[in-house]
Amino acid sequence: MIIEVRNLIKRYNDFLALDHISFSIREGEIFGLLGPNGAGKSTTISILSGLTGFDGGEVLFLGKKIGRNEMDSKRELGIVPQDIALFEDLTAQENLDYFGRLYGLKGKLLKDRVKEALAFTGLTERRKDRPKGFSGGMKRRLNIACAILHHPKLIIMDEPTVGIDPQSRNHIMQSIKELNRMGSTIIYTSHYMEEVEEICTKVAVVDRGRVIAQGTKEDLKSLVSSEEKIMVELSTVNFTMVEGIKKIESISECVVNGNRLDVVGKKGEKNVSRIIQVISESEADILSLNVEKPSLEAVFLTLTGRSLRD
Amino acid sequence: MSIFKHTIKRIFRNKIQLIFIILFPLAYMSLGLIDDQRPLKAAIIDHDQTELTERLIRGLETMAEMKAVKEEDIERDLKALKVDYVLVIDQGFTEQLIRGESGGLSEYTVKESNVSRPLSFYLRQWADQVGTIATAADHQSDAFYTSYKQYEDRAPLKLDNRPIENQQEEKSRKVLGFLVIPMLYTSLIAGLQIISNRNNHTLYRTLAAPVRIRSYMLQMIGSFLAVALIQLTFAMLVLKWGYRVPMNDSEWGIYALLILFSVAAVSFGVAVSSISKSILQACLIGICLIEPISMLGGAYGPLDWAPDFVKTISQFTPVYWVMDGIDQLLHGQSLLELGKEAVMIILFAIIFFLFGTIRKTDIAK
Repeated sequence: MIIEVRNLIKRYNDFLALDHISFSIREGEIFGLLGPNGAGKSTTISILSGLTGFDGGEVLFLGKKIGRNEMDSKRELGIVPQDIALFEDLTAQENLDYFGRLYGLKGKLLKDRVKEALAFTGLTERRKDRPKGFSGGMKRRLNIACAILHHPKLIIMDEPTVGIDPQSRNHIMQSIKELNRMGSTIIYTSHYMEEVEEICTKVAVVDRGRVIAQGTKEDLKSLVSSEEKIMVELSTVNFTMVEGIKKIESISECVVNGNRLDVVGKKGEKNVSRIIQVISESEADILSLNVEKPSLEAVFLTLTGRSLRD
Repeated sequence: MSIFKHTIKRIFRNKIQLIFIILFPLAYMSLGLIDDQRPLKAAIIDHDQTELTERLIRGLETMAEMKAVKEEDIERDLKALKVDYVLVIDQGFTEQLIRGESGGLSEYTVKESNVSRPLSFYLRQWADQVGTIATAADHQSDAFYTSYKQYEDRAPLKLDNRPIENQQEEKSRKVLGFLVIPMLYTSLIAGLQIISNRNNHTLYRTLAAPVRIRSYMLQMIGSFLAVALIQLTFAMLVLKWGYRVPMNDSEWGIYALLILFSVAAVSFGVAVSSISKSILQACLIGICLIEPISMLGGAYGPLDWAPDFVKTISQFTPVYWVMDGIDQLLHGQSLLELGKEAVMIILFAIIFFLFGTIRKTDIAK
């Protein structure tokens, strides 16, 4: 395990920000931390970053207990804050030089790492420009570059794609996958469920200071739904076919919607093949077939009773 | 040293800040000079009209700008500051003087002002010398004028209109006071940099790196001190070689004392940042504190006029101690004799520093 968080407690006066939070992250994972505003994500990240102390529990980084201002663990961490944290009056290269030196990089190694980070984030051409003139997406990329130039073992990314265009978002998503492929473990928080779905291998849902569910995406989805919805678009629909589908034991509902059938059945009962068999016995052609799976958004809504963006 | 180096780079890259750091003290000091250079305005009403009174008037003309004033308007013109000094020479003054009798001269000045003191001083010296010549000439008119002319032409004890020493010191003190005030103002830049780092989240990121907050603060303060040193050195060079402000051979002492003061000033800027949430708030708090501190400390002028309780309160400002030290250095004391002043300035620096850093305990908040 690269990170183990056990029964973490954090209070701000009378407010319990973290209530016995526990989770663990294996090396090489992309770990999604999901939760609405005020759920405790930022506090958790601040504690993992060594910026905030905690009132109970323990945090192990590479098997070693860490506390506030633990310099050894800080060296192995890369932080991409939610807010863009750049000096607007320094060039992109100077920003990287500044943050690189804070991690002890100097001389040729620093120069090489700055070049590498600029190339990785596609900012080489703009290295001598100040972020003042950058687009939102470029600033976000530089924000990431500042966190990776010291090759950290663990990168914490707090909403790294907020407020940027789809092209830059795509670039960042590819970069995260590439970083992970190169060996970095990543903690990723986002409001964009589709991003978490796309890149995270494991997810923890945090609400009101507690982890209410965690596991792989499939684990979480299975928590909230035991049914699946199958939509079949046909050349023609007839009564015999509909009755045949309804007679399948695992099917609970079959609604005709023009030339489309919306079928609901128990998950894992080979519904699709059974439905296809019934349809093939009639004279209708299948034009399209979709199986709607529960999304993480639905998981979140079910578990917390509110939307992620609330 | 990354924080130190990059902070200096950022301060000097900002043109407005650079102008403020370098030119603001010069402009402020110039104000002190312009004020001091206002010509002394005098009027002489001569009812005697003799050769001797003509010579007296010629002497006074070299020290002041002469204005015409009617005798009945003296009080009104003095109140309206049309003139700073009026001398009325009575008829028969010269004869009285040669006879060895005093009197015959009436001086009018504004009681609360001392700007005309050099003229009074000149007049008194002149009257003493002329009285001595009259005695030596045995109170004979012809012999008196012959001796007086010889005295004017050749006498080693010639009257001079050079400004008196006190006036020079006052002028230097005022200009140096006008350097201390912008030093305090520019110290706010230190606070603004810290607030700016907090607001643009680079402080969060910096402290997420293996950097302790103490190291961060020390490097920030170090960079501001370096900037203050550059500012002070430049201002002192201009004072010495540009404005030619006399400093009674105490330039190095004053420089050293002001370096010490710059530490207190920078700490003051850091303290202001710790109680401000935004740059605007820091500027407002800074202005509201700097002006009273400067006035009470005597940077705008000596506090001789002030009641005792104000003088006591003024000792609770660092400006008082730096101005007190400057006063003593201008009066010929050496820097080594200013132990009390130095200790007090250091004490203020420590208090401000602790106040500015002790609150920064949880940077993530």
